[in-house]
Amino acid sequence: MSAIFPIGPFHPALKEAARFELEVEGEKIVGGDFKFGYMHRGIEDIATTKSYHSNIFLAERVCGICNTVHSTCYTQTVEALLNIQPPERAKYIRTIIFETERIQSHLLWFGVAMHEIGYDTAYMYMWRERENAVDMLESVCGKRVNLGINTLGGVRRDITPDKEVLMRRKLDLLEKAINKVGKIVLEDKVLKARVKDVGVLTKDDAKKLCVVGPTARGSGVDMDVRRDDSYAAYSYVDFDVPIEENGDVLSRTLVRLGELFQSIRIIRQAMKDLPKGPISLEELPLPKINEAFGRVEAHRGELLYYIRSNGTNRPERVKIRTPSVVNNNSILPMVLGETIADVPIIIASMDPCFSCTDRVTIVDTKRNVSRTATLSTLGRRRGL
Amino acid sequence: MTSIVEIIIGLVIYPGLIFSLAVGGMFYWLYRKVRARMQARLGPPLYQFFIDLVKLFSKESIIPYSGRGLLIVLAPLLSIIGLLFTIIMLPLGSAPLVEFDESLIFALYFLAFPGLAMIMAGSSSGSPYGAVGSSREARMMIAYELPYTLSALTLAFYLRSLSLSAITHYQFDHGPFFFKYPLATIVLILCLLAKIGRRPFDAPEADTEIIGGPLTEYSGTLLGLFEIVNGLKWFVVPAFVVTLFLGGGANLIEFLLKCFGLVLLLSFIDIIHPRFRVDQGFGFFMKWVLPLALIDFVRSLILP
Repeated sequence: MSAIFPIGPFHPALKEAARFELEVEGEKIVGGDFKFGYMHRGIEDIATTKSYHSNIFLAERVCGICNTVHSTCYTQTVEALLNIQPPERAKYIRTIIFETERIQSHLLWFGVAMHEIGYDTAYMYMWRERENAVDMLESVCGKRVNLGINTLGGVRRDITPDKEVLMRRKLDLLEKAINKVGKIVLEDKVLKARVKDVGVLTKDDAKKLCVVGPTARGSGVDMDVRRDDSYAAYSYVDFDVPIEENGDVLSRTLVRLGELFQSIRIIRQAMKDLPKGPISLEELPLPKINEAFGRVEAHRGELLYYIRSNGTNRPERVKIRTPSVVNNNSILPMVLGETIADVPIIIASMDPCFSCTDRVTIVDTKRNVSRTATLSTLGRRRGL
Repeated sequence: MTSIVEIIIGLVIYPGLIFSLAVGGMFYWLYRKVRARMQARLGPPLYQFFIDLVKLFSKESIIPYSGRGLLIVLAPLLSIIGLLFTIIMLPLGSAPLVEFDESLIFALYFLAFPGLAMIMAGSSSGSPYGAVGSSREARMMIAYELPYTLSALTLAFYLRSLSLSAITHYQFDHGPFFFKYPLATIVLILCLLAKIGRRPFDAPEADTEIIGGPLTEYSGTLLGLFEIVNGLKWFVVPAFVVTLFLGGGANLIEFLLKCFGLVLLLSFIDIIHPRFRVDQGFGFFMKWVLPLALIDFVRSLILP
């Protein structure tokens, strides 16, 4: 006989609201139903009411941890829409900030994952070391979380020589810390017992569910937008894409560990080759009726933006496909057959971000149709 | 024979509730402080445990509609009673308050009360987290009680006595049992971690998985009672191990210093480990800890 074990909407293992109803027999999971949608903010709709420039800051607020990812993707898509190229120096600065943010995001993830399996000491340690990455971002952008560095046709702040010195020093500290993280992950036996062969996502399943990012690379799917469709300055730097074949939580962890080392490598190269010149364009053309599509490799996977313009200073449609939208579908195959104790680390292992995922779709089970609700319908329902 | 009045005073003041809670609260603070400092945090102030108690006792207790009211109230009381009955039988630097020939068996029984109370609390709370927590606690108890009892009985078989004061007196003359039965001591310390619910064996109360397990539905005064249990556990359970294997204490100060050392050791083990899944914890006790306990147990049988 199975019982329902609820996780969420509010649960210490979840950093955002989502509901998981797990069907359990004893502690074993035999089925489940997941409900998202507690964090719907209507960002895509708001984006059509703001100017192209204001939308940079809106895009940044889609997700707190990967904010530069969103603003970079948005600005690159708008630049494609306007048919302009940012200066070379701006591209390099974008790359540096992008990768620094990846380091802080992955270290944050490592901390959260350690916390899920009760390793609070490693969690505190990793979050302390993450401060170095945040300091690097602060020194360049002036802010720690929502960086506000990107603008249409370039970046807003330059990396001056004295900042470069500070960044190099912090990078050395980070490399030391990441080496230690690797040592913890590879050598701790209790930790290994908790993550090895847990939450397996096979390569076939990964391809079928179209998962992206470290979740896909941990299952042996070789994909990385930075390499396959390079943007910013990624075509000028040399880096590897770490792949693991096993598909368990440990492989996803090792992929992220490998990416941390690659990020440091990319930042070092980009800082060495940083070209001289302006950091942004002086003048921007007016948008014509056009459409554009852009993608970047966010920390959680491939992020897509589609923008259509109608000749005014506001976009007609902004479509955002965040990596968590596709990755969330892989939770069920991963948790089936595992125990309740493994659910938090499995959910954490794909680094879900629910607030950038939520969409409103109304499913009518009687007539078996589904439609997407508009803001005005929702407003009517609430009696606004 | 001690009179009833003396026993009641002993239960409430020294070495019972007030004294044990003061010392246990300090040890709990020590654990939290060491943990915080090793994690590059500041940690709580010395009085944190006590003001937590005051806060909890000043709040309303909510008993869930789906829970069984009486058992929920009885569970923490049962644990407190078990721990207090244990402490009055332990010789804390002097003769124990209550002295009789079978005190070791009684102490083993009473020390199982907190675990039983956890199972009771979880299964009567009517919450799925409580149910999972109590089933985990039951599994862990099956795993650790056997090696725990075996290593305690090692001494009984060696001395042909079940009296706690006989065990202490023997150690005064011949040195701590730690040197004679190191494996049994290690076993007892590992079981201690499971008994006070610390990493790597804190699966029954895992906060990120089942939100505190059996304690999920507890609030206010009743949670405060469980906080008292927690404080008492930090003193009584290490004190039991100090009495059995680490030579007790010629006076109270020596005894407390030994407990202090043991608490530090437990804290370090807790700090450097992640949490075992409950089946891994069970397997660890059955595969590694039980054989260790058996080795010393058999040694005490054949080599008196």
